[in-house]
Amino acid sequence: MKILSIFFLIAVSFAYGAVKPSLEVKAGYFIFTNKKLRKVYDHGGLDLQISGTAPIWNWLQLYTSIEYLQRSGHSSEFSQSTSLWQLPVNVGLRGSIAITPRIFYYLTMGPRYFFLHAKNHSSYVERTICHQGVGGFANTGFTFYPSSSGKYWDRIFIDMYAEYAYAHMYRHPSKKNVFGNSVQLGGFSFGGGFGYAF
Amino acid sequence: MLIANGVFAGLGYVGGTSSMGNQVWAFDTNTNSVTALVTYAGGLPTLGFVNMAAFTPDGSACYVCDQSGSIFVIDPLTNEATHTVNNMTGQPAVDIRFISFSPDGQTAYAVNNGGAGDENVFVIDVSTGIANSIVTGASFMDLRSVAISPDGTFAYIADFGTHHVYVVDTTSNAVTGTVSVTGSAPAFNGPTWIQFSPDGTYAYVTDGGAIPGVVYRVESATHSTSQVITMESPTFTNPFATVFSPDGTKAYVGDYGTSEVYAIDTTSNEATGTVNVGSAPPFDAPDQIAYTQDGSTLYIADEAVGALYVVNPNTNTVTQTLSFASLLVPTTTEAVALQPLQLLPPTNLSGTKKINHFGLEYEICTLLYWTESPSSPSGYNVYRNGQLIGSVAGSQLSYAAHNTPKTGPLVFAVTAVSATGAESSPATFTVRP
Repeated sequence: MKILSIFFLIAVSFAYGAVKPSLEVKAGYFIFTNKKLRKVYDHGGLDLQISGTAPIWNWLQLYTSIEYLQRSGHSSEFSQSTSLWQLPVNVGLRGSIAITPRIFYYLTMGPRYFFLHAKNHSSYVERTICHQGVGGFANTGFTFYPSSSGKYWDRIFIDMYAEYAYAHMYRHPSKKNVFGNSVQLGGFSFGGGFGYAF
Repeated sequence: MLIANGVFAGLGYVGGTSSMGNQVWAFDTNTNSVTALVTYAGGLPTLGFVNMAAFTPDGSACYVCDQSGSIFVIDPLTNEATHTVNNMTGQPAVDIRFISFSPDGQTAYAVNNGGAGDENVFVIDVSTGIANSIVTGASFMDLRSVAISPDGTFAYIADFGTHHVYVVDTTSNAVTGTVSVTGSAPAFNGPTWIQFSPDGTYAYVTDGGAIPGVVYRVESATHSTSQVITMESPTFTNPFATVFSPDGTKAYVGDYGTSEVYAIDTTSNEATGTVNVGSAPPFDAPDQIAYTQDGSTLYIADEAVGALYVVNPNTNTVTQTLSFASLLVPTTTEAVALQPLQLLPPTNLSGTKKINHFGLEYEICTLLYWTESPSSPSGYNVYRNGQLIGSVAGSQLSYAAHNTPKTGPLVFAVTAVSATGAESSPATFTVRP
């Protein structure tokens, strides 16, 4: 009986999970997983994303997003200012299930391509660093459709998410007596967004 | 002022005579008062009539030459004449008139006025204190002075008797020629005292061999005179000692004949005035003259007056005479020498290695700290493995040596730098890779 109940719930979930294409704007708080980056960039900062989904099959969606995050900080010993911004582009598959007709849970995974630009206000290291690479990401969260009035705004949803990104980088500085760090540029992001399901 | 390592900054010696015989007094240039009478180690000869005194370039010893043929070496830390220069030349030392040190302080030339047949210039190895050879290549007759050029490559020897100023190659210790007199200047009659300008480009040579006396300007590049010092009236009569200000803009010439000390503008090579003694006893036979290293004070000895004159060179006036307090009072003063200001390195140099992270990159910085040099320098130079990597003001006692290599031996050195650019020996600190 218990097994049947679980099967019924999953079946209902997939039925509700026949989601539509969507477009979403998200904002979150980003925190580096790398200890050195957290120290230099004072933990984390704002992370902005625009993402979209397109149904592939039943509960499975194609997910894509473009992200922007920027941080400023100071060198660890002499408080010389430094800043960086990243522009990751994520592409992945999202599985989405309906918990209720108006609440959905999702899990997304896929690769990411990222571009990084850093500026150091110091003559002791390289002033400008540009880097690009490939990593991965995973995010999970809940979407909630607050209205069920039968109007078009019923398609507006609220998203609460958590994301983890991995993007490894190793610098080989060209400047004499400047040394590279092996750095995990990714981290965790927590936030929310508003979207529209077409 | 007694400073940290026991070196006495502001030390001078004056040589002269007293009722108890010939003496050398130590005095403090800060107070212009005598602090001690020089004592003599056992076995040393009695000091004769003092001709002149000179410090080694590093200020570690003062050499006093006398008319008995001795060169006494005084330790400025104890004011004791510890030994005399050991004459191993086989030539008799009769009357040591003058001594001049090479700029590195390793060699000295001493003029021996021994009379006919015994006139020579001793070559002294300063480290051993032995005169083991003489300058060759000329027959001297009446030697008066010698001066090694500031670059140490050559020397001039004044011979009153042969009327020549000889040029000596300091590598071979041999006379290579004589200074030629050009233009309408009179030939040398009795060259007496030679003094190089601080930059070594020329020298003044006094000549009292005839009246009027002459002070020549001799160019180092050509070993020839370019002009004579002029003055309106009277003329030089018996110019003797001369000295340049540390910056080379001014010189002084003492004249035995006119009993005056003349101030010379070295740009125009013209005597611009005389030193006014004010209420002090008048000059009679002004002898050796010394300038403090900062150019603030001039000291003038007088072979016929029992005083050492203290002169303000800005006003050319005698501000006081040296105070001898309760110590023996001189009846004459012939020689005066001032210890070169010791530029001492900083102490307690230490360092800490810091990793300066910028997130994606990092550099290693060594933070260096030191204790101020007792010489109160105007700045410090910082070296890494012998290469100058930075300079800081004298008030700064630390330096961040950025971009330190990760590997290899790292030896940091910090030197004190004076306002004139002179540099002390280094204090060093080694960083383990």
